[in-house]
Amino acid sequence: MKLPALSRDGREWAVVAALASGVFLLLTLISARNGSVSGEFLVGVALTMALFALLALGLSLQFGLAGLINFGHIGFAAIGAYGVGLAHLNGWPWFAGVALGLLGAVALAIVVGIPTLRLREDYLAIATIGVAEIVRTIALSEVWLTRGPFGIYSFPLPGRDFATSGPWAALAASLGVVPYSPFFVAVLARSPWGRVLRAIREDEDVAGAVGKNPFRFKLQALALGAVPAALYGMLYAWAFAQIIPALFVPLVTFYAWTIVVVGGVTTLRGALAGSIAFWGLTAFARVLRLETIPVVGGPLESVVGFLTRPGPGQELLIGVLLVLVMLHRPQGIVGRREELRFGR
Amino acid sequence: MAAEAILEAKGLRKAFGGAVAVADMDVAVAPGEIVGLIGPNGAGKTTLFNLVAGALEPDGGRVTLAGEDVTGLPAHALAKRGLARTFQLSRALNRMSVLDNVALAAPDQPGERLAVAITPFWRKREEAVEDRAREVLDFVGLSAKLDDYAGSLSGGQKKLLEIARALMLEPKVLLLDEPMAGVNPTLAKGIMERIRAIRDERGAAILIVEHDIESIMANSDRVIVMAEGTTLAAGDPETVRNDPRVIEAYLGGREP
Repeated sequence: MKLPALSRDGREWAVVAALASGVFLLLTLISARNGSVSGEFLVGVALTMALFALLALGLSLQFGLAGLINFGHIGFAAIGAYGVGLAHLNGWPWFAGVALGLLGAVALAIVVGIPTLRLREDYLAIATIGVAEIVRTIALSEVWLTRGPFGIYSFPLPGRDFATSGPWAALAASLGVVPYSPFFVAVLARSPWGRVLRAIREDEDVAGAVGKNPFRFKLQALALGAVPAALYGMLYAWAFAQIIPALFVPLVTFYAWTIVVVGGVTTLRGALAGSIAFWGLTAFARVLRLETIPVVGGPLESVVGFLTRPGPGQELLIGVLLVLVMLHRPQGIVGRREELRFGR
Repeated sequence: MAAEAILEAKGLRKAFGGAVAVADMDVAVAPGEIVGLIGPNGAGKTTLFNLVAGALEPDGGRVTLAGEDVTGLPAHALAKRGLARTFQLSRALNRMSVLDNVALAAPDQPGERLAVAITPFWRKREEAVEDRAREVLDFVGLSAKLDDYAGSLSGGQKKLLEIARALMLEPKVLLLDEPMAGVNPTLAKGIMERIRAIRDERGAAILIVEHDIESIMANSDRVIVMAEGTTLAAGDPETVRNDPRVIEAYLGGREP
């Protein structure tokens, strides 16, 4: 009996599902061997994967669809989180905080986009990284407004007590929000609006010559891509019950970039696949304690120790992952090779 | 010229730094006529094209489209007013399907607005858009390639794809920048035949820049010869062909 043939979309989803099952099966096996992995840790890994898939989705939309290079993505997440935080500090209801965060992120995108999107895309990359740092610096230094480095640890989002009651609760709730976003973005990507953006990504002059105003569409894509980032900021604050400026350092933007590049920028499930691979590898590094590797000693021990401790060693592993993917699968885990192949 | 001009440019000027590319050019094209624009390399033909199509802003002069002053308007605004162009080096959107390349140019797809794109309401219109795209692709002879990536087409097929994309705009004025350059002679003949059909069946005003003088002379209703940024000669093909200044510009070069 033959299995029914899967469509290309189906195959790509199957790859994502297999990747997720593989990662969690291995983590569970390791934990069964040495007891270093708790159920809470596994749930925390899954939660981080889901949240970062959401953050990376904004980049998929901006870069994968419209070709916009945004190196300040985390700035929009900060606006989302502080929208909720400010509402709490000022005694406004939670939905006012959510609205403030979402509208604030969109407004920031428009403010950055208007002067830079008429120029070549390099200027957008430079401007966004600067703006994100400005947002973080304001959050850090304007203590009267944001409590600065002291952070906000209590805010009024509904169900927060439920979320912080245990990691399972937060995971369940985040998984209730996260999947809608890729669906929403996929609908847009397949619409005529998405077609215009793909045309602009390839050749702005052609899009102009057939009557589309490239500036207008690019500004819309930039503003829309800020929405998942703001949602990430709110959900992160909600699940981990803290808003501090240190959560919004530029490094997080580049985690999100690594995720979309590893997963594949041309399909929206790339963000999910990339997030699973990225945080899966980080989790492996954390749980592969020395005792799980039976015959290690001497100089090798310090090497393995370096690679499995949090910090530079782990980031080195992420770098190796990125290089391996780029060498052997430049389109990403579920990206589309032919979309890379044709040059101008 | 037979009818009243729909596209008219008067006294166009454009300099890049100190180099004057277009000095003082007048061009007029009427519905249902093909005007050929020829001239030696560096005569300013492509610059003139870009000035008329809104890709460059002129330093001086006026462009009117259907009686309306459109000088300095951006390309997308001109396209909405019925002016379509193709590019000298063909610019197919390689990573999109042939059908999407053409459907993209539809002027009346409400699904391009963000608020409509998230609803299913654009789908019905999209069927009509795709039907028309298929029709146009059939007209240029590319109906076998609908679902291929445009990047897989040959050079000549990409030229045809660009013409199809321009036709999708239902243009009143069509600007073709070297539509036959780098195309094999058989396909070039086919392209020229399609261009004549666009004139005859759709009544479009067509301005062609082309290096292949024989083909221009054989197919244009009027010919403008450009040299050093201005008009050297203009008129029907026979007159222009026998103009001593034209022969000199092409064969002899000018006296110092």
